[in-house]
Amino acid sequence: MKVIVLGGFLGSGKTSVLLQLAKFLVDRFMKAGDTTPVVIVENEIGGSGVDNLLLENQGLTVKNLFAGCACCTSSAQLEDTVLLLKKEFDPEWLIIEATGLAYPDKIKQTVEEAFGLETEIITIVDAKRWFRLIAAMEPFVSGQLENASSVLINKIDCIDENCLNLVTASIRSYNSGIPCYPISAITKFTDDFWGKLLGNLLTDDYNELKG
Amino acid sequence: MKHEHNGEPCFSNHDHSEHHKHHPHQEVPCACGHDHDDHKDHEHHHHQHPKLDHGDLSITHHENAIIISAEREISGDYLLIKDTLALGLKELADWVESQDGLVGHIKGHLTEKAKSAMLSTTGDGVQIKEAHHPVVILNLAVIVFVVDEASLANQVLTMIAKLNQSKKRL
Repeated sequence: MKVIVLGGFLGSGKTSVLLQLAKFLVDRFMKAGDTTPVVIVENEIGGSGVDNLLLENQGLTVKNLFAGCACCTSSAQLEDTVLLLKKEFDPEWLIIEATGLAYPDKIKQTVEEAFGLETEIITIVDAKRWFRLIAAMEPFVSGQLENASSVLINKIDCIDENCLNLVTASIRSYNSGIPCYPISAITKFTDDFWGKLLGNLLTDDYNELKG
Repeated sequence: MKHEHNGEPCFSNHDHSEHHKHHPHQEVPCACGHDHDDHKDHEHHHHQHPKLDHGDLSITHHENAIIISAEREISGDYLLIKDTLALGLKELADWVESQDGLVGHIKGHLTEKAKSAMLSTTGDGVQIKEAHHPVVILNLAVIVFVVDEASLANQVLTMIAKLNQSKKRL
């Protein structure tokens, strides 16, 4: 089982990316029989969820983790949840959508230390609000970039090229050398994009299926 | 008074020596297991307490965000409620901005539940009682920063009240 943590501040577009990512993985890794190749853990800080309803309506397998943050207050529940999902579904992919108030690196640490599972962080950034958020809460927003494998700079349809360059430079000032991908999550991502983004996570199994 | 939390500065800007004024348990016993008499060892950033309800809204805190959740069943036309909610969410976001607050996210989800049926039998046959009553279920999640909590709750309740009233404008 491979684990992807989708992190990023509130409103950055995590759920929009997740919908496309999950569909890509389900399409590519669905095999004959009743296997469930992709399971999603939806973490909501509040007592009830909204995003989980959208995901469930798309036919995706979703496990809810509400009323707490998986990076801190609900880290023990996260361990229990991952264990349960491994036993129940044994999916090839587990996608954890962090709350917008989480440090994704702490979720990665929890999963890796508890289960030794390969875990990658993809952090999504709202390009339009980046500098406003940095001004208001820099330690927190920049902390969400820590140990990320890649950053998706979302909502580029709302900014110009100069702004995109400034946002990219700002992100790299906190995490130098990190791969940054400008995206607009309201448009469909290509398979090549996912291939580049997921890189090594896409194993020979994928290449055979694609074959 | 600003101080460090786990090596990271707190951006909440409130006085942590006044912590219990910001997170009153009032008559509700706290079951979190923390020793509240020893606040120095208390990880404020990673600590949530359910607050007393404002109406039947669920209000909690995390970091320095105010988190409001609500679920409602609203009788009325789905499209009209959807349009009213879209307007209401925008007005709520504008209100937060007007208060110099910061919108984390404001999300609503609507599910239409127009038909229901009860099926029963005592062995001779199956009786079916159907009902057709347009009901929309609203799930609401509001996360914002740096606004007055009571005022925010009032704004949310006002928005929900408008949804209930929207059917009357049909």
